[in-house]
Amino acid sequence: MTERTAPETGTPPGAAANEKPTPNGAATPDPAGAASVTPALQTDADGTASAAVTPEAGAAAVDADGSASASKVVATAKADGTGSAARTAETGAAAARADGAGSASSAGESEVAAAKADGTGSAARTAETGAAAGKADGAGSATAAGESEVAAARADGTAPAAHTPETDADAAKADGAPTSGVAAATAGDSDAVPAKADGVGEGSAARVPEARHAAPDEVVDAADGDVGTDDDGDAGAVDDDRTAAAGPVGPDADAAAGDGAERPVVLRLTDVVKTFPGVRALDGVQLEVRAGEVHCLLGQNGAGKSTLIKVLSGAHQPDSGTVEWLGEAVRFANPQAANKAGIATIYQELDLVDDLSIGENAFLGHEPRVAGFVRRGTINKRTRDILARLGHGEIAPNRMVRTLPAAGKQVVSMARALSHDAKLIIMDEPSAVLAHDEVENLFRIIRELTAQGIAVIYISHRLEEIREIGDRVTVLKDGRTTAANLAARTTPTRELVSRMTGRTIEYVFPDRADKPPVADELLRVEGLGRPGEFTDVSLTVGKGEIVGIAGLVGSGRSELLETIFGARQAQSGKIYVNGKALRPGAVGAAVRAGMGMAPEERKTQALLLGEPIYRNMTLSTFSRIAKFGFTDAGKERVEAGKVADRLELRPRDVRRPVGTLSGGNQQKVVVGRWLLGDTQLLLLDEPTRGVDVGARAELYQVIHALAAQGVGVLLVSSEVPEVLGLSDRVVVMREGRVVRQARAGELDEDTVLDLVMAGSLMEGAPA
Amino acid sequence: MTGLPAQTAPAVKEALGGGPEPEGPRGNGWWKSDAGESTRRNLALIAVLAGLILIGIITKPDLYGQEGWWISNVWAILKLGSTVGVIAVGMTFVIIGGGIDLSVGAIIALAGVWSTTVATQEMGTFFMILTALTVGVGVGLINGFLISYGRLVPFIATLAMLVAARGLAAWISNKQTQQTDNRTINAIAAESFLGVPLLVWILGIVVLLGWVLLNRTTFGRRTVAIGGNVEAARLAGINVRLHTMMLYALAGLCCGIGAIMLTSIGTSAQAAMATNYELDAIAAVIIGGTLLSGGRGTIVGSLLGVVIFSTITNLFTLNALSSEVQNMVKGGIIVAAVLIQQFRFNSVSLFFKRNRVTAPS
Repeated sequence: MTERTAPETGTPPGAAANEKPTPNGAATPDPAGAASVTPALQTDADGTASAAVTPEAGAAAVDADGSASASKVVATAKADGTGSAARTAETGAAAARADGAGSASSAGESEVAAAKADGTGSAARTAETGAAAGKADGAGSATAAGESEVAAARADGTAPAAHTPETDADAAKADGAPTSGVAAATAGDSDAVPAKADGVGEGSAARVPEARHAAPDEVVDAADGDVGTDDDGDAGAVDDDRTAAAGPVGPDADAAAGDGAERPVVLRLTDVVKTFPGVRALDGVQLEVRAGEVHCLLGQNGAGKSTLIKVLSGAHQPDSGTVEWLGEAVRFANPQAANKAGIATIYQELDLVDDLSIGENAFLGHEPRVAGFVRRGTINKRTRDILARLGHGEIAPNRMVRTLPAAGKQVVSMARALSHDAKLIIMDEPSAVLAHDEVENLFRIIRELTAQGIAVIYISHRLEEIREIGDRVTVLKDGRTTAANLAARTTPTRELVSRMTGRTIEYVFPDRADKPPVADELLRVEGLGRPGEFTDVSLTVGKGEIVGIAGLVGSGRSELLETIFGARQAQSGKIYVNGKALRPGAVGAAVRAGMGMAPEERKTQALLLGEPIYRNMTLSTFSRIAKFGFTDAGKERVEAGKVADRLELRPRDVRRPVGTLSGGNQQKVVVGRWLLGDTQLLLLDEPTRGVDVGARAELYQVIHALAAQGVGVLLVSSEVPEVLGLSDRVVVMREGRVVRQARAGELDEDTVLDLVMAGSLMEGAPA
Repeated sequence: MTGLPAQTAPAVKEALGGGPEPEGPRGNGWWKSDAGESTRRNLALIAVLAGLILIGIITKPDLYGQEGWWISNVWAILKLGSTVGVIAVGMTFVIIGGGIDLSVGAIIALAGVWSTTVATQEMGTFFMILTALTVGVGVGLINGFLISYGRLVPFIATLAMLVAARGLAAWISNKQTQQTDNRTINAIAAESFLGVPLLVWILGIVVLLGWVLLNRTTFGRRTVAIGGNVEAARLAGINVRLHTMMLYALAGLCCGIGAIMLTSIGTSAQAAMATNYELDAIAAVIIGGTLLSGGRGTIVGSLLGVVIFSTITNLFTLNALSSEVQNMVKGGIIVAAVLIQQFRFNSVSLFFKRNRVTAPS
């Protein structure tokens, strides 16, 4: 089996090439630049130890071998987080986050593109060997405005990073003269070379979403190339520090270090243990969250994230270990106590009351009142203030929550958190319910919150989001902290994944060995339409073929799948299976015709959570296993056991209630249900949503194995790399229409994302 | 010593639990915390029943403890609960399937009245029984049709049927009490077979068939699936609408059987018969541990619920207490039985722990 990583199919080198610095700017050794390095810097340059950037001290900026390019440079680039600089150096990852805070004129948002060159400074080579793009923001400075781009180029042995606000782009040029607003973290074996970010034009390429998508995977590439070669740590480790709103201060390393330490630790967990009957859910968790940071929590399903949240939010009490909140050891008796103390939790299933207004929801349980009467006016006024703080002053506080889209409800949840004056907001997979553009809005809000000094614990399975929004990452595995306070942007994907799983891959798509060149037609959909959902959809799926549907939430993709399966009745169009027309709107007919579907919402649409695994697996086949209407539980267990073996279900005991399984294993049960029958066509709706990395790879293999047996697969996924990597053919949907059908090899991630998002960017955002 | 089973042998586990329960991962005994949820619930009900019997032994030692008397009292208790027991079996299916049937009492009245009209009685025993069953199933089918294809909420559809069926029963009987002079029908309540009253035989057979149907057939499996997660059942290819209709038809069938039993007990039928039976049946099903939201429940639990109620009635009658007091105690028993079932040792310890915990300043 050869492994193929997503960027090869998804991101063309061009995406990186666009954002790289110009050749001459990238890595041209420049005597003047070298000369501009201060003596202090040079002293540092030979010591790799200083490069370790004193993580605890909140470390100042550096490039990896410790030579802070500092003295006359205005904004100091910083690395913070445990040994992130050193680690970055070792793996040679070049992703960086720059800090726009340094200059008053600097950016509200700035972008970093870090490119790694092979030493010759050739730009083309830079792109090919792997570039990493990161996104930075300079929210630290209130007066910051505009946008700036940073291009950091790394030539082998040297790691210059330049932070170039728009206005000063030219000033950052080759002579490296320290100009206001320029941060050049320079390093080298001996000579420091500031980079020139030549013109904002090139740099701005980094701002397109594609660049962000590319980032994590590119980092892997970079890491692969450089492991073990660069122990002296000359990577451009540039990280941000929001509080370092320095202004034109002479940035000596110590002062910068002091800056880092200024962000106080608001929450510290030490050796927290929580045991449930039979399960040690938390087995020694360490966590440290600082004010104003976005602290990401990573871990597979079942790693203990949910339990940890519940401990923090007061829903559970730890058995042992300490929770320090604002410097005091605390023990929250219940969620109300945690709320009162300033910890708010936004759960994945938003706990809002649909038929109350936004304001009433925000102040639910602690309404301002006079003599028992709720002060509606006060609620609305304060809610309006809070919404304005969240950047949504346009939402009327008396609007009913029911009328809001998912993204809007999330804003209300955050408003509720702020109404409690929360200092820490815990978000459990907030992006899972959001469309692509809504995630951007969420991130904007999170940035505004952190700029106000509020700490955020952010949980997500999507590494690219963590790269974009996170500051530091703590990784949990089996209830333990396996890595704490990693730098969110610079830690290589490979390392994060391996900390979570012991494996080193994120997307791995097994090779299709025996793919039929021209598949016999299995499913043919002609002109299918349902008003308000999708119109005139035609597609085919062949035997043994995997067809992927790419599209945003609301593009009609899930509705299409359900209609094909008969769970919804089509208003127009025909569905043929094996050439025979299918009775519309009848799931039973579809199942008898050999179709099976794994719906989008596992828990609400597919599983009987209290029932044992085997009964869930045989839900569509128990009648066939039964004799004369009498069920045969023994045979069902045997059959389910075979499927469980095939899918490597854990735990393997099929008599356990399915509700006790992790998300990935639950998904295996749902897919396994259709392996039991003679399913010829499998419809998969978001098969890997909420599924951890390891189980995801296993699911991919299962899907391929099924296709190899001649089963046709029609799958829907929000994750474009997944659609591209898994499918033979791709159908792109937008606003209920098929906008493109092509073989997967003919499309790349950027093209698909463009197709998927064009024209619909702002739809579904809260009004 | 009592006629009621209080054995705790593992062999009865499945019967009590209403189905095969998964063994604990550590291979614990079935009585441990990971014993089946429903098994534990049923054991709690047996404890309640044992308590009632103890009260009976203390207050009426002759009837509850004495050789020769107690067995006839047991039959008396079971006969008392037999009609409600039969309709509770149908109700259990409906409630596990996620519905509710408020019209069972009214269906009994309609089936009873219809089967005892002069015209029907003239056609003989077989035809009377057939009429009662047909009316029961037919009304059940109408309920089911309104609910699954008319998309009415079960509560509303069956409430409407409660009113309408009693109205029709009163119209058919012309508000008169219709005596039966059919000896076979009247013998059902009076005769015994192998020393066991026929009414108890009917109850036993219906409960047994109900148990098999729920735990050993595809019909039962579909019922649990629909009640547990109707969307999942639908997407697994189960014909939810048809099955839902069948559930109400089954409840109607049980009402038809109940109508024959009740007609036999009173040797007559009238439009006001079986009043409030729906409440008795639902109460028995609920204290029997069946989830009102559907998806989980046991026939044995429902039977225990019925027996507990009729034991209370029996105790009160023997002790010459008024029915008002009796109803108050029944209400208390419903609450107590459910509370006992919810009882968990660790929930108690949690409760204390929670109170020890202090909130931060």
